[in-house]
Amino acid sequence: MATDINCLSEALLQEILVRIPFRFLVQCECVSKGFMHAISSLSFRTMFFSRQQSSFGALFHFVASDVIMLSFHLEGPPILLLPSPKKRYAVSGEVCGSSCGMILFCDCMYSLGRTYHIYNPLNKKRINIPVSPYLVRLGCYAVGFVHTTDGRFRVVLIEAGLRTPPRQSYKVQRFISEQRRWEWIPLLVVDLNDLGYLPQGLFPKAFEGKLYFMGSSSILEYDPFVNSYCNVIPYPEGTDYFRVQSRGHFGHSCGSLRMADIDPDGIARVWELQHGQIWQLLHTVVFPDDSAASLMYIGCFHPYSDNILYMHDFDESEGIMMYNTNTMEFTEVPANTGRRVYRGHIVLCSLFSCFLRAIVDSGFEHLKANNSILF
Amino acid sequence: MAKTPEPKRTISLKPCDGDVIEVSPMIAKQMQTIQSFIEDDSFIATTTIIPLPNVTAFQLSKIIDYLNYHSNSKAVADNVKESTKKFDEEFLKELEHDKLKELLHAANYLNVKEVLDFLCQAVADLIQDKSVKFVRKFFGVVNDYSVEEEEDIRRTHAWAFEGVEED
Repeated sequence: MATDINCLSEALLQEILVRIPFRFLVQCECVSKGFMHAISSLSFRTMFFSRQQSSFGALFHFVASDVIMLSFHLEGPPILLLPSPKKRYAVSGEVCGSSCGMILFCDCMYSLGRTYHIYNPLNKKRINIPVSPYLVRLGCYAVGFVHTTDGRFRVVLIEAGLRTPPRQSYKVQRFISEQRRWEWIPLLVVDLNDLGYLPQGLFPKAFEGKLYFMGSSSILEYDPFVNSYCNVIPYPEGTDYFRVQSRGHFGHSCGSLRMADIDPDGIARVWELQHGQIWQLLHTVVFPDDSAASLMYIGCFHPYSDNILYMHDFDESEGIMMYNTNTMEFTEVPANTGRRVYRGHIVLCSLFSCFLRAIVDSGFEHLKANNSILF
Repeated sequence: MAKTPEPKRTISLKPCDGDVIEVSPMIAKQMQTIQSFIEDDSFIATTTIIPLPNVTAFQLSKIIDYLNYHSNSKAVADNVKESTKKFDEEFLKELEHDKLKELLHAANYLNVKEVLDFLCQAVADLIQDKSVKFVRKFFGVVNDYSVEEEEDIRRTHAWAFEGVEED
């Protein structure tokens, strides 16, 4: 036979590589320069992206109030999206939730509960949500958003704010995507004293189809796909809402919910929620003396690595640092000037540019391409 | 056009190392390369034998087997899923790495999408989560990076190599 069996054409090789998981694809860059070429080409990126996008969604995590980290569900490194420190835009929408790669935007102040829309940054489709007929004048709401992989979603408004004392029953407004309507249902909190009040303006974590609202005394777990189901989870022993909220983080990593804080001595702790109720202490991190970490905030967990914390200072002027709890080393996340595109993280780059384009196109200029970083 | 076309029976394909194999037009149609032969004006179905210098009899019959099985099973109900899966597994079991690659080439040459998709997925399943060395060996690729260059890539993408064991 004339053809050497090992001499796959690049097109054929790409047909194979387009089917492997992203993490392994990145490893394959090491195989040879030919592989690197095949993986790096623009047409392959597009191919890989459009194919794999459908098989798993992306995740968005808030690192700081206006920083979003974007990552694939099970694959790939995250991306940070930063707003420009210099420019303040006439923002026509605010990001107020994210789930399964979809973003919940609000056209005015999110806690007022008025006009929301859901935005798919990948196909640029926007789903407008009608105004809830159950809004209370001057009401303040904690806004939750959960989207499932099969395309259903819920937007949840729960009365919130200091002025809303703890009650036995909360009136929850819930938008049901299948029926395109709002419904008003009571939510019974069994162990009332444990919840405290729900602070407004905090985005609950959407995790595995449920919402986790941080209350002042406990966490409210609510499954908006099931009627009135809710559960109260205490904070880990030795920490509380204020500590987690001020310099810690509540999010998820490696498929479980995590919580982190920094205690007054500057020691960071990370817990994992086990069996939905028990917080297991995973890490106690004493930062090196000479580091600036004593002044830093925990921004985010690495979605797939147990050992990485993303940290930032108060106004992110020092950028984002990555702390590895194993090596006890800080790594600076590259500066956010210009477009820094790393070889290999192609899918994410393409997803990234798609996302940014989508956002810029639709007037959400507060996430601009040239002021963003990725790694 | 009142005249109905002569019902076409089979298409004759001649692999490089064996006798002519007759296939139904339905099957031949799925091979783009053959299809372009058929569409050619000089093609006379009853007499023309299409030579396939890049395809062996073994490969051709494997591809025809696959297409036959899948075009038949499509016509039947949904509950054939299990047996289809079994057929696919058996189909691959008989193929060693080299044979699999050769078949991939043949499917590529014949441009038969269904088989090509199936084989690409098979190769993807085979290589994923193996080591870089395995991938090199599998594709017969020589590592043309310098030690520093490779180290550099690994460092840049340290997250991707976390927990990966090199053999």
